[in-house]
Amino acid sequence: MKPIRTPRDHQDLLDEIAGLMGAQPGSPEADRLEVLAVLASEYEKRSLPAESDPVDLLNVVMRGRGLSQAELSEVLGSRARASEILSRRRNLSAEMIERLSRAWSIPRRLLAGPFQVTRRRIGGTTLSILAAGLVVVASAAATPFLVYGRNLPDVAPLVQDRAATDLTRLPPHVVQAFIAGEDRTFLTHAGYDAGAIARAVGRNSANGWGHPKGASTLTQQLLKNTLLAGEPRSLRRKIRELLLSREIEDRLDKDRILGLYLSHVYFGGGTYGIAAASKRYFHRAPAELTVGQAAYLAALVDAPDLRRFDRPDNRPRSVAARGEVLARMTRAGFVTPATAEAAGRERLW
Amino acid sequence: MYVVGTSLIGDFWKTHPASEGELRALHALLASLAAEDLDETLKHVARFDACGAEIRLETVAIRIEVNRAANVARYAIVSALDEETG
Repeated sequence: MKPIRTPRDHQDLLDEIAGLMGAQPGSPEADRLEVLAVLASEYEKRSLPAESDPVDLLNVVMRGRGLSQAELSEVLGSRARASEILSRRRNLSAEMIERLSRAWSIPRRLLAGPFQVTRRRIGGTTLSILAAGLVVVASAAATPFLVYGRNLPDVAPLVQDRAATDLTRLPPHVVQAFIAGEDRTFLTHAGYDAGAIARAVGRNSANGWGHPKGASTLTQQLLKNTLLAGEPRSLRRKIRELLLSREIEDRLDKDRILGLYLSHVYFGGGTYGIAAASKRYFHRAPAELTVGQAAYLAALVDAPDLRRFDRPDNRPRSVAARGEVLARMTRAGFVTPATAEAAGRERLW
Repeated sequence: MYVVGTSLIGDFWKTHPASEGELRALHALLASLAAEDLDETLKHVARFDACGAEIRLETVAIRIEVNRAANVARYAIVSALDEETG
């Protein structure tokens, strides 16, 4: 037996394996077959990893077990979801992966890979608002819009990023605080918020376009903190965020986008990611954050240096910003007014 | 299972690109299974015999040899279903 160094070595090994496939259980030949198979499969993993598009995998599993779309609907809890998944109009969420894995014994990692989702149709009204916004943006800058689409960074490093926060380990109010505070339409938009863009276009038109502000979704913020990190705030970056956000939303599901956002977002004082921020500001894990603490961290990301309570001058702003996020959580129906009020009384420092 | 002979399926989908998705999926599935789970997982698409199974997917038929004691599967033959005769 020798290491596999060349294709010839590999072929010799496969030939020997072929001759041993009929080995009887417990025989020396069966032992040798197993050892040779370990060597060959390790070598082959480099050229063909055992990874698959999750929808193709579901189709093979369903076909193999004689399962119908109705049975998929039962597992996912909705006929519409099953149809959207099989027709690639929707990504699998963490919850769907969990359900499928439990019901059909499919390893989670096989279902968790990215897959290409058919582009969402944009409604006429949304498209009009977005187009109007972009025309204003492009004409204000006197620059053809498409120029900004050149040389966009490759999204693959982000798609394959393993550092995403596992949302299933967080209390719901942590996720809700960031959605309410930063991007209330996160769960339904396709990477950008056309209404927010239209409002921001109005504000920035009035203020000049030197440092455009506002309208960034969590997806756009994730891009700003990762693929576009280091690019100065500019109209160019805003448009690049928009273009890339569509691609990210097509390739990743919402849970994963939010998980990546929470792992990369800046919380001030050289602290990145919610795990480090929870430890720095509250000496605990994200899973132990209270409603008030979660709301504070969600408020912090918007202006970390102005809202860090470890700088005493910031403290009135820290409390006010947390109050604003709690009010938004209440308006979104995530918490009751009584819960928000109690959370607003929690001590921060 | 330890699944070997992947060059056979990789070479096949280079000339039959439509089969790539389901061959990759089948490979990922086989590599994640224990040999004893094979029959249950593929019972509606596979014809089992003493040496392994003939699996018919949507675009391809694939013959795998299996040694359950050693937990090994080997890709033996792949053919496009629209090219099959008989």
